[in-house]
Amino acid sequence: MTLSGHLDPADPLHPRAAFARLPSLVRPLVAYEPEPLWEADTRLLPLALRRYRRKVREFAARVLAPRALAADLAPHGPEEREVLLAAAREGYLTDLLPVPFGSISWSRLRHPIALAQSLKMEELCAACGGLGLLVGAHGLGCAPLLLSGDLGAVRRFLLPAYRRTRSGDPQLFAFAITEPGAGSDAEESSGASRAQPGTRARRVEGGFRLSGRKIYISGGDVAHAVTVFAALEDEGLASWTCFVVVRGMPGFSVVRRELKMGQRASGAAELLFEDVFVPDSHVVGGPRRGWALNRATLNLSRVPVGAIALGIARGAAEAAVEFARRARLGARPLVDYQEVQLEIARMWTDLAAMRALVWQYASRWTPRQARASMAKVFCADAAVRVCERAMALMAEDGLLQRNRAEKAFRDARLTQIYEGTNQINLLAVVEDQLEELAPLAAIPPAG
Amino acid sequence: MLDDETAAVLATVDRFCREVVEPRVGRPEQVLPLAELTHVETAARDCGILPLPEPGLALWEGVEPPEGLQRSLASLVRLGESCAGVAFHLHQISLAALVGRELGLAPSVRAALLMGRGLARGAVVDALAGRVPGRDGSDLLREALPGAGSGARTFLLHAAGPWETLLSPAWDDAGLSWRGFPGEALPVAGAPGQHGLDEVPMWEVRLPAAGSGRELVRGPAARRLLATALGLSWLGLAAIALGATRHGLALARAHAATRRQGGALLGEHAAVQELVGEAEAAVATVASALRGVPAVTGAASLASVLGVRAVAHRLLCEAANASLQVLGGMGYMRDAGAEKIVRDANHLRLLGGTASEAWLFLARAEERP
Repeated sequence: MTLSGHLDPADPLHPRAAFARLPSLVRPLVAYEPEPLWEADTRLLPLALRRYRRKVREFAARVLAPRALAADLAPHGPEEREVLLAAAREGYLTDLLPVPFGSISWSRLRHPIALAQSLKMEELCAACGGLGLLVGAHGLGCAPLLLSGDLGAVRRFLLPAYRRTRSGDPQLFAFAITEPGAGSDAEESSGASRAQPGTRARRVEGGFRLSGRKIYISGGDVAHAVTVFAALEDEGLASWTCFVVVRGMPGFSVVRRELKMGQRASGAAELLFEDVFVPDSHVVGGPRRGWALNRATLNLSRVPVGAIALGIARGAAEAAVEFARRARLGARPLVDYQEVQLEIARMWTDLAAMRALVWQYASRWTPRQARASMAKVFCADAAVRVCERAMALMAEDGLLQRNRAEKAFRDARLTQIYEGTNQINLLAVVEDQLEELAPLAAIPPAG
Repeated sequence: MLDDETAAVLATVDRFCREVVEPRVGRPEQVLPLAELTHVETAARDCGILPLPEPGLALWEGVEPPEGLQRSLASLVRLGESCAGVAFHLHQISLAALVGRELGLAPSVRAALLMGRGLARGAVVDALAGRVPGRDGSDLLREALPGAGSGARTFLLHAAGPWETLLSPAWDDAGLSWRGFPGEALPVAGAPGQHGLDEVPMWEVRLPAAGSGRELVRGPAARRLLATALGLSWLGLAAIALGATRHGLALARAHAATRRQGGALLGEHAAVQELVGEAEAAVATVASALRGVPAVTGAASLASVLGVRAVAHRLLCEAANASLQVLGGMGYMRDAGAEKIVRDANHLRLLGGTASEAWLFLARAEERP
């Protein structure tokens, strides 16, 4: 089998056929069998993560992919509940803790959680960016509890939620930082130093009273509990404190669910806090620890966000490749034309670069801000580029949702915005590398 | 400097946009109902933006002199600024009317225009020049041009409201022709979930095998008409995208001038200025390129028109994206309007041939003058 402009792999001039004729001593250094790129990449991983990647891929193909188009056309239908129930059964909503508390096997725990989360998000989002986010945003909501080191909070909130989730009743968490008029201030230190917090916590007997609004909260519409960040009375963002607010608390309500361009299966909610009483036991990690928890959570989650972008882009590229192999142009399959082959190779090259960056930067237990932001920015931009190529390869057919590339484009576009816009993330790179950028001469005073 | 006629037409279009279109499209998250689009269409005909039985200064009328072409382009830019979908609808009706008139259809016949599936990897160059392409080229042309082909095929058509006749170019062993298909005889199915231009639904039209439909013209006249129709279609799409992108840029500027981040207005941050500046440069470049198109006069002018189109859409899509980015999370929400402009610009980019096909077309046009 071959394509126009290429030799048959059995032809003596084909590199792989030529390698096979080299002496056996050197053959292991240069010769290899053909295999799909996904398989070749999977074999780069340690055994436990290889198995995990295969398992999530099978789950995404079986559970998410068949529901993706319907959940995009008519969000908040039955598909989302079905996916959450299946994800709960398979342990994808309890995978920030090892067994018996959560679902991480001890063999997998030898590797950083961010790497496993990145593998998971790529696979889920290759099937559907929206349903992938629906599952993944829960981890973001749980992260402040784990990163706080507050074992009491983990015992009080996370373990019971995990138990109920594993028994078939998904108990989701959402992460609430963004406020009206101050989207980026919550994600950037310089802005935070001048921002006027909108959500405030007032000290009262036995706890705090929370008032304010949070907007664009992923999964906030279906969450059982929200990790909310609020400034203490009359103080700035340095006083940010993380609270667990549980659905049903008097004064807490979901007041709006946004109509989004893409990733529609996951709701973006506006949450209203009207003098909500939150007992002291719901403070995570202690007062004034919120800013650190927020930034640590973002550092942990931004590489997996890069993986979300990677997954969405891979989904688009897979759809385009499948289209190019199926569709005909004139008397030949579309894939037989050189310009189509070039586009496929460009998409694959972008995907390979994204994956290399994600896997490399997720392979450390301590996420570094600069690396996390670089992975997020690069992958988000590359994902949009790949989706544009996928749509163009299909030409007018790329305009139809059923061909999946246009949906992937809409889904990918969000990755340039959430978890800090790409511009904010670029500033985060600079912030983390300030020492490296120190001017070589003293800066004269302004004015 | 605008001549008096053009200034009067543009004033009419501007008033039409403010009084008829914009009040109806103020909620970008809600798709304009078909009945409302029909009302807009009637109003456009009443004020001379759409062609009437007697020749006038409607869209794509009197486009041979450069000022006539520029009049239509400026009108479409303004309409695209109000709503790309509405502008596209009016552009299509006017272009179909122009082609119908050239093909001898009565002005009362409502025609839809199906230009084909891309540019046949550039083989359309040969068809327009009256050359016989190789076997591969002929196969590609049969497939790309709707009115012929060896078997029944499905094409995508944008149409809001009923149409009586489908007009399309066709390629067979004897060369290029135009054919007409009675609307009621064609199987048509809805294509739900389209990327952009929400106001104008997409349909899948199944055209019968070769030889069906009525041949309306063949030979040099058919080639001239295809060149004109392609050129005006491409320019129209680019003009609409320019208008839509201008609107996106205005949204971004308004947001940057009022919202604060880090204790300063958004627009005071270099990161935001970069985005706004990129969008401004793209809009200015495309506007200048469109103003530089002298005329669409047959196949000879097509290469330069296509070059403008291919570059324009890439720039405008990037500009629409940059404008959305200025709005941040709000820009991603459908009620803000910026995401619709990104989708509309993207949609317009892919209609009637992609950039890759444009490069092949241009390379061939240079090879074989």
